Amino acid sequence: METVAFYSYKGGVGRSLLLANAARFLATLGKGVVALDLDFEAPGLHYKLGGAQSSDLTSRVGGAVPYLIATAEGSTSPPPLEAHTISLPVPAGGDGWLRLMPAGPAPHQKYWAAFKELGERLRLGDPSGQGLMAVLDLQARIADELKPDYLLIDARTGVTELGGLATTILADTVVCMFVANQESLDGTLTVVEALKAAPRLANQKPIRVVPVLARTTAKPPDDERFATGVRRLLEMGQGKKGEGKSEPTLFALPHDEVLGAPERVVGGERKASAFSPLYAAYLELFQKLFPSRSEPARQVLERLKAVADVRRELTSARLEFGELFSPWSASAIQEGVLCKAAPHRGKESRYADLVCSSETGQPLMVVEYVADATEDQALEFWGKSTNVRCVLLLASDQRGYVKRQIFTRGIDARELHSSDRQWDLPRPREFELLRDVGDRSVESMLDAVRHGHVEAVAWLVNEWRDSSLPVAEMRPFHRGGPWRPERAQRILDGLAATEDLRCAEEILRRAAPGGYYPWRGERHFREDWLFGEELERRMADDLFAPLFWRLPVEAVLKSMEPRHFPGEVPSLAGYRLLAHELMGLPYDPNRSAAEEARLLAARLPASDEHRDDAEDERALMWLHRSREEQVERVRLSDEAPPALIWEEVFRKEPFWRGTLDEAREKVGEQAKKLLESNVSLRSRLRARAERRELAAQGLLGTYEGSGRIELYLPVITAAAEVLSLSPRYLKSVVFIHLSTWALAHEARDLDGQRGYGFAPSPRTGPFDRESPAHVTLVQAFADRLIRRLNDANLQATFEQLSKHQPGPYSRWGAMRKLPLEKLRMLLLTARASAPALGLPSANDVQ
Amino acid sequence: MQQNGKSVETDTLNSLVTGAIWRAEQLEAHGIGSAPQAWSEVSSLEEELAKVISVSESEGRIARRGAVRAALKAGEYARAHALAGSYAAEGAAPGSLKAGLRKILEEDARAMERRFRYAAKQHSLREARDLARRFREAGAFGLAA
Repeated sequence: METVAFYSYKGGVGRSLLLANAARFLATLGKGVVALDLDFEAPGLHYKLGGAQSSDLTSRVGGAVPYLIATAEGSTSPPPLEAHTISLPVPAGGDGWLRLMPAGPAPHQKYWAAFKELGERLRLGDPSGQGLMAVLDLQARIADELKPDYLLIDARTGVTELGGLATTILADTVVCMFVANQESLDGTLTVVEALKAAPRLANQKPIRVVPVLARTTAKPPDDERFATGVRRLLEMGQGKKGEGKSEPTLFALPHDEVLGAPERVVGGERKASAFSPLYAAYLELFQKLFPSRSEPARQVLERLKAVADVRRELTSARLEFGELFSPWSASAIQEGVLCKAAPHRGKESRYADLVCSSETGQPLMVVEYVADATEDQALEFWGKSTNVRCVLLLASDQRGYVKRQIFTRGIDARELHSSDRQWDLPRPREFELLRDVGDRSVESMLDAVRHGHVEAVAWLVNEWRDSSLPVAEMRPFHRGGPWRPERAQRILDGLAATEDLRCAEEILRRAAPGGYYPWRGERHFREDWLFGEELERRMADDLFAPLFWRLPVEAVLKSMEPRHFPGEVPSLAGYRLLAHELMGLPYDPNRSAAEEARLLAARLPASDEHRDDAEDERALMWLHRSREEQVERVRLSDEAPPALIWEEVFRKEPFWRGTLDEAREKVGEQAKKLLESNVSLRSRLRARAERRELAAQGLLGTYEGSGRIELYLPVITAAAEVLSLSPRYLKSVVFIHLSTWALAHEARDLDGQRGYGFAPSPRTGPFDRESPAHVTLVQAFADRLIRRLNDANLQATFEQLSKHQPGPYSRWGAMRKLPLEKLRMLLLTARASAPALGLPSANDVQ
Repeated sequence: MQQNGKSVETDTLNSLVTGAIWRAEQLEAHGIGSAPQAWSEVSSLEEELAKVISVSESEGRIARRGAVRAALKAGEYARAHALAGSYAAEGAAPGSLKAGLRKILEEDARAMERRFRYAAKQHSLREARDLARRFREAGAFGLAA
């Protein structure tokens, strides 16, 4: 039996707490331990070790004071130790034992009465040696009858006879605790010097002193006297091994909120939540104090550190990707769970350090620290006896480096397999998103998006950015792997194929220029990092713009809705791809609106003294109107298109004359019924398709002079059925055609002129038609855009549709032979009108 | 007269010590706390007898042994040892008395070892007594030395 006394010159240093933790630690790790409270003047060890049952425990047993009263003068039949000690439970999994001999039933009156009596009967200085023998007899009897491996003594603070006896004679090792002030250090030094000089009994080894600096929140005195005192302590006692070849240092116990403040006793505890700086320091100290348990202490420390690190990661919010990486809630993680095999999968059970469960309580992931080489056994159990989808095994190598291995399996798979993920721990949402959380590949994430998991979008957009930017420095936080343009293209194509509208909206929201960085919840100003401007440009040109044309039109319309910041019109990036890159036209409606506002302001007389303010206000209103137009420029309509209205009215009255509105009024109801009757509508459209009359303008949609584009949904859907096309891509093709027309009309050339030649026909009569040459040009640019987008579905739809459209719609093939510059020249010419050519207008003639 | 006086004193002391021994034994037998004081009184009376009866007389040797034994029973270990030392040092003290006194002290030590049998297995009583002396002289941790 080894006896360790815990002593402090001054009280309140956490001496009893350290002893209690040491006792539990040793018992958990297979040792027999007796804790003896010899702090008779202020006993409290039963509170630390007995917890809530402390008073109940001491009411059932005597304790050291009653025992010594009975044996102070010796006895040939001393009272049984069982009557004066309490057996305490050891934490689950521990294979040692722990008994406590409290001082007595303190703080009850009968204890103090007994204590007074003991003072009269037990005189340690009695020349007969009787008093001394009484205490030595207690220690020897504990060793003889209980046979513990360790006797831990809580010695009285200060300089007392019993404290002196406990430390100089009873103890093999004395832990001397002090706090970081000169008073405490000086007293401790005096006592330690006395301890080292004190005579020992013949069969006793020299006393071992381990000084410990406690409650180190206070800054130690920064003077030479204190430092010299500490050095002197270390010369007499044993310190912590210094780093490298440096001198030993003091063991220091920090004060913390996890163990220190609430005075928790967790020694030997393997649950990560018990881990704290103080517990880590305890374990480090225990390695020194109890050399036979040094290795287990090191393993517990490593295990706790490793598991606590993992737990912290699992419950910490990641700064990016929104809900995808939202952390595990504390309630979803259980610690130190003995997991049983699933029904009909055996009767074994296994200890898991952490078990992460779904909201329904289904275990999804386990974390186990594998101390020995039992990885195979662990995998065997978790793989075959449970349904968990992810297993994280932690193991320390000889250098103390914690290796992580993640094993995963698909939802229905039977076998766990090794995952490439090592540091990137799965988050709860990933178990819903991914069939196999070990597979966070582009394809897997795209599959999640295909299944409507909107959270995967942010990750994919981020991956696109990191893969497409050639230099790591261009990326926020300089992260990501090498430049992988092919991967970026795969992501782009995968995103573009998204059918789910919610996901498509999210894709455009995430990809939108304007630097919306969700992890900061605020607009990210591009000046914040060196390549911000370049990054924004690339995101706009290479990601948002292609997706703007390729994703479902419904989602595109959503992206045009007002954003959080005034003036933010992400759709412009899409239009610019067509206008700038292909048509060679600057397209900047904001600038145009500002210029128009200036012209307007110049024409209107100043109305009040605040002329400047009024001008600004008018300009702002103009700008605002322009933006509203941008937002409302495309509409999905359930109404009947003009072509069907005219057709309907002439079916009814072949020689009818009137405007479109009048015709709509006349046959509106029949047209509506026609749209509602899928059979009739398809029949009409089939006939038109055969006659090659499926014009984009007037039937599938319209572009009106007001700048508005309408897509007639029932007609497009029915036409898609007739032509065996996807309505989604047909909508996009019509949208592209009409948008090209709109840009040809609205975008200004370098002279600031609009494309008046592309003004849509007023459609006041049934036979108003767009110029065939203009249609051909628009189709040619639509073809160029679709080829630029490299979207096979769009291309096939475009080509198939054009076979059923009037002649000018299908001449894009011939136009492909023309170089882009030539096409642009033709466009400029076709846009020209009288004002563009500088010819005198009617007003000038007058 | 002197002899008579001595005789008178001896008789008185003998009867006193006889009564004191009976009283002390009764108190001890009944576990009454004042037994040590009674044995202390016995020791004092025996010591007085030893003063008046020579060591060469058997009664004088009995009184000397009785004084030491009673002191030990009274828990006056130091006094017992002091008495034993002084009696053994008397010039006319026969070897049998010295042996007897030593035996009394040894028996006491053995009795104490029986009462503290667990400690006695590991430590000698002599060492404990030495340490106790240090405690007495130098205080806790030896700091008062």
